[in-house]
Amino acid sequence: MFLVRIFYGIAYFIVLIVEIIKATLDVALRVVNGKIDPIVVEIDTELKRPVSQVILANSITLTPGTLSVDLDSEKGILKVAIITPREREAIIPFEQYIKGMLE
Amino acid sequence: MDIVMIIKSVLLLISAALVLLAAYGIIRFKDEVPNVLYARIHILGIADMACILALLVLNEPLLAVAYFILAPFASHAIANGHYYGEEEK
Repeated sequence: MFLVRIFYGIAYFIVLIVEIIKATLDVALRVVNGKIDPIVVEIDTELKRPVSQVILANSITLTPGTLSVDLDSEKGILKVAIITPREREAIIPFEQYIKGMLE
Repeated sequence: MDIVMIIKSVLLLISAALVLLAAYGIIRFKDEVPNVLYARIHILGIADMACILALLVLNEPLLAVAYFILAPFASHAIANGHYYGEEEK
């Protein structure tokens, strides 16, 4: 359904903007109080098409505090550098919207 | 002095404060912290977002969209090069 994809695209954009604002305030607070612990973790993604994987990696890098280092397209594994350890859902909250938009 | 002018001024002040905070964060964390390069790229992400906000306020939406799409590529390239360069050492 084409309309459902457009709806998912708009929802993805809104979620991305909200996440960027939240992450910017979070990183700005961490600059002030100095609580950082940068590590590189590996997360797996459900997305199959390369285009949606690239959009996911680009969104991760666009959010301050998370940064995609490498992408294994066949196995679906992303290496992500994060500013402090957190779980998978907090790193990629927009994954299901990209899945609805492009897959 | 209408209300739009005041809102624009407040948004520009917010982005200026964010750029100042990013500059402070770059010089604050020393090299003893492990993986400090990733932390510096994260902090420069704040400056990117402040730049996009300032471009939107200054009526340059096309530049803001181009920056929004192209900004992640540079930080991704730096992080990727550092990751594999450190692995070879």
